[in-house]
Amino acid sequence: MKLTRREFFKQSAALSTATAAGIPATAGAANIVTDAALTKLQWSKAPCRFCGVGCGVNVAVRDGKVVATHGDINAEVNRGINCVKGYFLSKIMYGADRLTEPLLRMKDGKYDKNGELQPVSWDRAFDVMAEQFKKALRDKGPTSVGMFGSGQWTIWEGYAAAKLLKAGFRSNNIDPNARHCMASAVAGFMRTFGMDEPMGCYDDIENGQVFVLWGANMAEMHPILWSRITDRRLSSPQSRVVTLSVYENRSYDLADLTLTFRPQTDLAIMNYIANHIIRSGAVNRGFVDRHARFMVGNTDIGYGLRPENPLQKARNVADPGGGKPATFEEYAAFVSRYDLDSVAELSRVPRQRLEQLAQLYADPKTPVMSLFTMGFNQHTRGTWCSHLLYNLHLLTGKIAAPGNGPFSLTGQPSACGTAREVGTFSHRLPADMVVTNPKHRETAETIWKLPPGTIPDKPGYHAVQQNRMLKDGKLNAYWVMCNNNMQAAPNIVEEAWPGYRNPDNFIVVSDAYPTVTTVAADLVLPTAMWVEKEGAYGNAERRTQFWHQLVSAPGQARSDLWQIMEFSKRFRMEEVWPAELLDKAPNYRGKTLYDVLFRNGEVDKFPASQVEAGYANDEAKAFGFYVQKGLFEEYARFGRGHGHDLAPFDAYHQARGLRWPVVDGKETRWRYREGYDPYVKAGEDVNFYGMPDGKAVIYALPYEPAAEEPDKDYPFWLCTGRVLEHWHSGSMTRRVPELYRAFPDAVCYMHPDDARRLGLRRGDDIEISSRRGAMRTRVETRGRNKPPPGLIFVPWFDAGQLINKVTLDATCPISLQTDFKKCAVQIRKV
Amino acid sequence: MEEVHEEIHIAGILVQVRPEHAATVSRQVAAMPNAEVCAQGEGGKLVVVCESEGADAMLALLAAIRELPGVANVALVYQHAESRSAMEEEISDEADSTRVL
Repeated sequence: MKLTRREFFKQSAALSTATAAGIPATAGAANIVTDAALTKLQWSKAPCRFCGVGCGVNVAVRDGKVVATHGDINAEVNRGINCVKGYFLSKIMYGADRLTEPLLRMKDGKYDKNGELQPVSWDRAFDVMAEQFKKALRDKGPTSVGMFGSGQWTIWEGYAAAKLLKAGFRSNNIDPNARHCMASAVAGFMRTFGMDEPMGCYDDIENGQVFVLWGANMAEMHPILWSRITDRRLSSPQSRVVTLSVYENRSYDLADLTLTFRPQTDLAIMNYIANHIIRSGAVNRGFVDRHARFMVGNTDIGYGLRPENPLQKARNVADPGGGKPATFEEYAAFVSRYDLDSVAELSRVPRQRLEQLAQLYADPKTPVMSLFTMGFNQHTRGTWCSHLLYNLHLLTGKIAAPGNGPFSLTGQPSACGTAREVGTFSHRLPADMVVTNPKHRETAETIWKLPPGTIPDKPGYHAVQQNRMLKDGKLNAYWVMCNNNMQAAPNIVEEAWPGYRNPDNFIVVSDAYPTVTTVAADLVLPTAMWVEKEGAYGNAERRTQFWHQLVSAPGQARSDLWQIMEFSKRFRMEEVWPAELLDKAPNYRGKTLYDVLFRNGEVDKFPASQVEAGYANDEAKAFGFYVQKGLFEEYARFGRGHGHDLAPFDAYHQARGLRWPVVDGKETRWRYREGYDPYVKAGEDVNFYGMPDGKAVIYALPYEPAAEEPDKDYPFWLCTGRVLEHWHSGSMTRRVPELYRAFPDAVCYMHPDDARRLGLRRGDDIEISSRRGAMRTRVETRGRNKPPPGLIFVPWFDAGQLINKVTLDATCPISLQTDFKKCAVQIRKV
Repeated sequence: MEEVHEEIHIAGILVQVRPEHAATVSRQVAAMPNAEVCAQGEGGKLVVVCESEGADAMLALLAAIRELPGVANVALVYQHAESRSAMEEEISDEADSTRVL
């Protein structure tokens, strides 16, 4: 039988789609098996480069170039389907403006902060950079050097960076952009369960009945998980979808119940639901008595602003995370004031909708999965949001069981795997350990073969604080990797830009493409991305996924890992450690940071010959050993044996990812539950073993107002966020012309009545301004996002329209994560 | 940037529709000039194959399907693009059975 290639591809498309949808293929389509042209492609597996869902893709390489990607039918996460960003994944590495050589700001052939960015060799780049880092260390000590990394770092890159900073430079000033994204979820998990990350997994969707979205627009931000929820909703008649948001979005299309609430009042809504659960007798006392205890948390904790801000004159600003033990009765009395009438008035949600949602949580027969992301995390009470939601699941015992539980969605591909699990935060060490705990530091120092006292015991500067300290001239040598923080950080005009351009500071930015951040840098380092290096990511359901290097990076571009290790060769131990510390490890005298951190008998344990045949590995070639394997195996020692177990390195190159803890080769789908989690003993039923007493904490915490609310001068709420076609700051997606044209420029979504009142029409140019800065954009009164009167929504992907010139750098005082969802603005026609 | 419309794009998409709208949406998609409904599953699933000149037209087509009343989600499963002339070449489906995937 002859057919044209067009007919062949159409039949293949029909067959693949039917298979992915679980629909039996028709006889005609099933006959399609081969295509000579396709056999010229070499296919390999990789997780998608974009979001935290962690879809598996098959990547096709021809003549050293990625030419196609398809959803991986064998990947449990996405079962062969892809979102529109994944559709163009093969193009992200081939933008015309890829950075291919180091660029140093120079005048007359010498480094000059006011010079122009000009090409230099790697040698020259590292010479100047090392000189600047050494100068800072010499003049002001370890607290004057720092690094801002990413939840897009591969696991070993984040691990090597944390080691370089915390062990090498002895500075805890390393933080990931995941601070802007996940920190509240981390703080909530740690304070409630003593361990980070969700207890459940994506399988909760197929096992679930009610899905409640708290500040998560999954239809746009997590389309593949949304397709799984859609499938569940449409195939299971008793299932329900509930969305809570401050504006209507695409996730409302599927919802059975929608609650559009006044910003910040989610706190009150959750306390009302808890009150309803208690008053209606729906508390699962057997579960609560065995598996939970109660605390009353400190209130009036400020807003994470600079100390001189009047809002920081709060009672508990010095101890925002404090609290005292309480009883169930005290907790019940605390939430009793959140009655239906007052919460309906405060939140502006109709009473009947609040009641319906409360009944779903309270009904003992209804499984509930709560999904949350940026609306919850980017919140000046973000940690409280997590607590108040966990309270609902703990009071009813609907947790850590199939179809039941709170689930934290993530935005970046390795926010969990790298930022959280490796612990690239300013207060953390790997496997949920922290720098403030002497036992944890000792564990790290033992594994890293360091003398006692190497790792500093105070948390370093967190993300927002780093920009403030750059501006204040206290952080002087600074390396930004794998992110675009000049676009992503809040309040750019007052903090970030003056910080980067402060003459006292030397700013290094490693990236694959020019961004607003590279424009602000003194040295730009060209970076390999995604399948140009061997990598590992960890997704939102604790799934660790590996990929091989499939192509070479262009020009002089090198991976972050190569950059970190190569740079470490420039430092002799005597230049970075004081004599007293070296006295405790005399064998390190005369060595380099590279010797001590990476040639320590562990990281260099595996020969380059162990790299799988048929795959390149530029780092193994450069350093002479299997760098990724050595780093991973050293890192895995932190977590094995206490609930954070990772499988042996090689297993991940075979599997489509494994969900930790991986014990005896088996992954764990539901933690803390007997029969699923190997750490829960027979007869225990549930054990929250992250806590010494095995009990999760139910926190009594109130509603408190936002840091800045609309008033006469600035009458609108501003909420920022993302759109489906672009991913975060757009530095990759905006290189793909098709995606760029699908959503070319940011717009300001507003209610038509607000537009009318301001004399504005759709498409009009406007200026949005706050007390901090202003930006220009256009009015949009139709389309996918529909804000209520009094609130506007502006996406932040557009480097030409920097909405973060307007936002406020207020953070949750516990998690130190910025609230990008709430500040007050005015709008005028221009 | 001017796009040269010589590339033909083919995509297999899964359209998830509220069951009560499935028949209507199926008719509406079938009536679109570049879309074909190849199969219909339970729970409002439609298997649709789309063809377009260039990626822009494809994205516009997908957006149009997404906007139909009752459509809850559009997911991509398969995509392929090559020149119009290559698409017209004949192949034999017995040509090669060594494809690994």
